[in-house]
Amino acid sequence: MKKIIPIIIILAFVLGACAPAAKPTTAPEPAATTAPQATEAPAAATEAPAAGGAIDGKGMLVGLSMDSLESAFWIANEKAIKEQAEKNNVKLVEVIAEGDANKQNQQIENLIAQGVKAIIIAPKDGSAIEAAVQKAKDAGIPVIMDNRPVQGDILPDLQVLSDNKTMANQALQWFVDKAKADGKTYKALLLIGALSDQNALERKAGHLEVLDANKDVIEVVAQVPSEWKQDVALAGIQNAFQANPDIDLIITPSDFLLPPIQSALEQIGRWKKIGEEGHVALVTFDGDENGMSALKNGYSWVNAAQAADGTGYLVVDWAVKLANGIKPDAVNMLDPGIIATIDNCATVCPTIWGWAGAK
Amino acid sequence: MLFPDKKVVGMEMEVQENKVLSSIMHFVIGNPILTLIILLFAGACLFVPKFLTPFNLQNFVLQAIDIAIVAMGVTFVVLNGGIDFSCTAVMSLGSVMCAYFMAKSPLAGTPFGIPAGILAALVVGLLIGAWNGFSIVVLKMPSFIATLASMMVGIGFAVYFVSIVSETAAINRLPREFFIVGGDQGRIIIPILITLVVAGVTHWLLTSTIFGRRLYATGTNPRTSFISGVPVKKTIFMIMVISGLLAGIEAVYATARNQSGLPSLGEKVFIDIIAAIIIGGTSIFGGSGGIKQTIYGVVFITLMNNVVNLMGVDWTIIGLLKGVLVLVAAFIDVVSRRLELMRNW
Repeated sequence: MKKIIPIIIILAFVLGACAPAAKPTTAPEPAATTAPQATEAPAAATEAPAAGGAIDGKGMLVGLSMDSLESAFWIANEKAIKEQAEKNNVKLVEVIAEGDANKQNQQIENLIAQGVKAIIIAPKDGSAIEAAVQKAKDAGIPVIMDNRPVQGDILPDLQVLSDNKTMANQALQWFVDKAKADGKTYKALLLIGALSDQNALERKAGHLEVLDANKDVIEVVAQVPSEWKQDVALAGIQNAFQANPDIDLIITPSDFLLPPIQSALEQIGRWKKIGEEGHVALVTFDGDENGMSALKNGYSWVNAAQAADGTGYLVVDWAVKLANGIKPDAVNMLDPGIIATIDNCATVCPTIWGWAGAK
Repeated sequence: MLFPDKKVVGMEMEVQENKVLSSIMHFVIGNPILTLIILLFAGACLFVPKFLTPFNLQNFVLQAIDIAIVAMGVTFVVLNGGIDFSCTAVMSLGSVMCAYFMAKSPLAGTPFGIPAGILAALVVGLLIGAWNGFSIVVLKMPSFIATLASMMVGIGFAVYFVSIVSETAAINRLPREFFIVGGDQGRIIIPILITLVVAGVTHWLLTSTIFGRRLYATGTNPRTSFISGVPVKKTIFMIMVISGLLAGIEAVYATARNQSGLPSLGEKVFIDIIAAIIIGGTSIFGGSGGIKQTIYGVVFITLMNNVVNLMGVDWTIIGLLKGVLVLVAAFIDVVSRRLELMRNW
């Protein structure tokens, strides 16, 4: 027995190492181009982005350090980065940290060693990335954060971010106003992303702000941390419904968590459209094809959509600009997002990146 | 004879060439991983631009140390035919505790902050190691179950602890002086010295002490060792404590390297640790191998990671390569063991 265990362990790790990162079942085919825009938010850059255009990078080498490619948002974002790099005549060197903050720092060291002219980073952990950002700055290489900010004192040259708190706030506020108008009250399950992700924290803060101010409309009966893992979310949702079968609203910080939501609701016969008996209302975030499908088919009420493709175009453009010595007006460039609802979907949804893949 | 016969000279040269060839073959067969390292290094020098730059060589050394110390500790456990999953939890919890004492505790900002943080990480390692030893020796649990449980508890507690003491998922704003432990500002001599001391002491323990001989004996056949009077339980307990302590030292280094206390520090590193040990040549069945082999494995894994990154190889290929190498190394281990058994039989 003692001799068999090591072999089993080794085989398990070999299989683990060989397995590529999980990808969503359907790849997004974003048709519309959405881009972050200049906002009046504090420290926001004022330049309007020229998403989708081309700036000649003259074959310059640019590093791209991604956390992982497990959600449709990041796949669409990475695709847009690659497209724009090709348009801009930029040679991309891509590394993927597979959800390992330590490994991401090592990979960025290797990018610096390769002499890249700029580094685009989608960090696994906003705190842990600080050391790598410092090293790049020490080497004189501009750094652009892609959708996730640095949580610390050492800032990159540019952070292209979504205005997560405001977007989460606006989407849920729209739902609360609708509930008030209809004279309805809800018992809610609040899903939370990974606490190592500043975006997840801001979305949570945006949701809680509305929830705290409207306790008479929405009572939060369960909060489920997902760690940005679908299996963790599924187990958490199932447990929450076991304890509180009267939940009739799920607030999720990402469309990435819609498959486990759908799975959990189908298992208890609650995956119902708006107006049907047993319907559980959904307030979602991202604008990927799952989110757009849920809105299109009447399962979700509102979606705060980010610009997965626009952010991707913008970070490449700015990598070239920064490498050429052009500085942004401010470190943070914020995407105000699009609030797509059941009321405005006909006009707004086709402009969202995940709409083309919606079934 | 004033002038040597040309035929004789030719034959002598041929004999000389054969000797050189045979000694090269002997070296390659005797040291497959070292041969691979030499070939890979030479190839990288010749064909990978920027490989030989001082910045990259410094990267290479620091990245090797990222797993070297903890891998040396786990080598003790593997030599005994066991496994230590909990080294990853020691790294995570050790890193968090180390950062907590330096940045969040009442000692933060005082001259005691840094020593307290370092001590905390080492104590975490010792305690988890001792608990593993107790579980295996007294509670009779297999090492793989005992350390798996410790890993889950340790990582879970690290995440929970950070959620209590910090608003973010990591603890940063550590004192800058501490970063020299991680080789900050080009002072890589400090982590190199720490690693050399650990390597020297562990190698000495395995090769020149009674404890080392007992460990190899226990790893080869625990029952026979017990009958022969080897204190098997004490040896296993010590092995687990050493593994925990070295993971604690690695946690200190990694915290300084990342300049923050990361509860996720050890989550993904185990595959590289175990790959380094197995590819280096330490037997997964226990009883053969050592620190030298683990260092070879660490150098090889780090070199491979570094080179493929510099070459811009697709990231999916890297994991695939590592997996295949571990499989090949484990296969060679199994086959060579069977051949040896057949020879003895």
